[in-house]
Amino acid sequence: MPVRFNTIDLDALNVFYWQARASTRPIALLRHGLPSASHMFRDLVSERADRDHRVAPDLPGFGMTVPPAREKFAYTFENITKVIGLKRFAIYVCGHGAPVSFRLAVEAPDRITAIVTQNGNTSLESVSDALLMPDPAGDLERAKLEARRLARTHGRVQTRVSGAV
Amino acid sequence: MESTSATTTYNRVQVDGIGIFYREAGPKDAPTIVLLHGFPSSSREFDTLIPLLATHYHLIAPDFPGFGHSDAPSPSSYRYTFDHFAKTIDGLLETLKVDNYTLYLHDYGAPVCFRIILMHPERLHALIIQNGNIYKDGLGSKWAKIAEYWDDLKAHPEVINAFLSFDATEQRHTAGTSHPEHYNPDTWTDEYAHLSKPGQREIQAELLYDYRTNVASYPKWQGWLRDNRPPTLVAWGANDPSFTAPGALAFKRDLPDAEIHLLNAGHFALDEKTDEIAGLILDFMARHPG
Repeated sequence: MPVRFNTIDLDALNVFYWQARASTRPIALLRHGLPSASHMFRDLVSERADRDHRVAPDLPGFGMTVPPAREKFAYTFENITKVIGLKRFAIYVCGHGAPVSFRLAVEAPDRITAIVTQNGNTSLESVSDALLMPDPAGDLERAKLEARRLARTHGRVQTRVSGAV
Repeated sequence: MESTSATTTYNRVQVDGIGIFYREAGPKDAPTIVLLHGFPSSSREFDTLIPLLATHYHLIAPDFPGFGHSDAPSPSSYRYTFDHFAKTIDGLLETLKVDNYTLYLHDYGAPVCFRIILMHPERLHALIIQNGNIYKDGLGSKWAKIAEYWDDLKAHPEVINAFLSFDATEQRHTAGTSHPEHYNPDTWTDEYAHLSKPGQREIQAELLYDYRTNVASYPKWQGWLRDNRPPTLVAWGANDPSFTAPGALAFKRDLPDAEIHLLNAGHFALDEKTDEIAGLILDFMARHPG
C-alpha cells in the first residue's frame, strides 16, 4: 500500500500527516507519542492497509507539523485535541496520543469507533514514580519487577478494548 | 503475520580502524546484494527497498565513513577518498565473509563499487545501477561549477556552501517530481541534520574534491565493463539533474545486453519508485541466478 505525505490547514495550523488509503472508511487515526511523530508508524501504517484508511498526523509541536509560536497557540492537551480534520474514526494511541484521544472520546464518544492502546496510559497504577521524581535507572528496575509480578499472577497480559467508549 | 522489516538488523563492526554501521536483512544463505548509498544519505535510503528484497536475498547496506551511523573521524585521522572508502567497505565484506555478491550502486556508491570490483573481479555476480554514474554523458550542468572548485579550492567556497545547503539537500530528492506527496520529508531533514554536525563540512569538502578522481577513472571502468560484460540492470530516475538520463543510456555502449529502464523519478529514485525498482530487481535476479 503506497504511503502519501500530505499537509492540511486546520484552525490556522499547517498539519503534516502520513496517509495510506484503501477506502474512505473505516478510518484509523494513529496518535504518536512524545517525542516522536507519525514517523513511528512507518512500518505499521501500510501493514494490511487494504482494509481501511490510515491517517497519522504530527501533533502541533512535533515532527513536520509547522509549530505555531507559543503566543499564538497554547500548547495544552485541550488545544491539541481540537486539531483533527476527521469526523469518525478508530484510534491507535501511544504516549501523548492517549490523553489527546481520550479527551475527545469523553467529549464526543460518537466519533470514536474503537480504541487500540499501545502504552497509552489511562490508569494511575501505571504512572511510574519517575514521572514525578526522575530516576530512570530505578524506574527501569521497578518496571522489570512489576513485569515479573504481572507475569507470575496473570501469565501473558493481554487486554482488548473495542467498540464505542 | 510478519512485519515487512522483521529480518532487518542494525549492526556495527570495527573495520580498517573505524566503526562501520550496516543494515543486514534476509536469509544469510541466499545470494547477497550489497547496497551502496549516495550523498548525503546512508543505508537509510534503502529502508523501503530492503523488506521487499529480503524475502529472497541476503542484503548488506553499510554506511560510508562520515555518513549515517558509521564513525566520522576528522580528515586528519581518516583520509576521505573514494580509494579509502573502497578499502574500508571491502574490509567490511571480508569481515562478514561475503565473497560473491551483486552490487547495487547509487551516486557515491558507484565509484566505491567499481574500485571494489577491480580489486576482486571474480566476486562480482551482477550489477544493479540506480543513478550511479560512470560516463561524462551523465554529468549534469552543476558539475561544471564543481570542476571550477576542483581547479581552485580556495577560490570557490560557495560551491561547498551550495552543496551542503538545506535547499540542495531537499532538491536532491524532490527535483523534477510531479508527485511531492510521495516524498517523506524525514529523508532530507535527517540528511541536513547530519550535514550540520561539527566536522561534516571538512569531511564532505575533502570527498567532493576527491570526486575528480572518479571522472578520471570513468574510461578505465567503462573498459572493464566492455571486457567482462557482467549481467547489468540499470534503473535510473530520469529527472535527476546531477546524474542525467544520458548517463544511463551510455551503458549500452559498453554493455549491449544491459537492461536499461528510465523511470519517472529523481536522483533518489527509490523515494518515488520503490515498488517498481524492487519488481525490476526481483525479475532481473530471477533470470540471473547465482
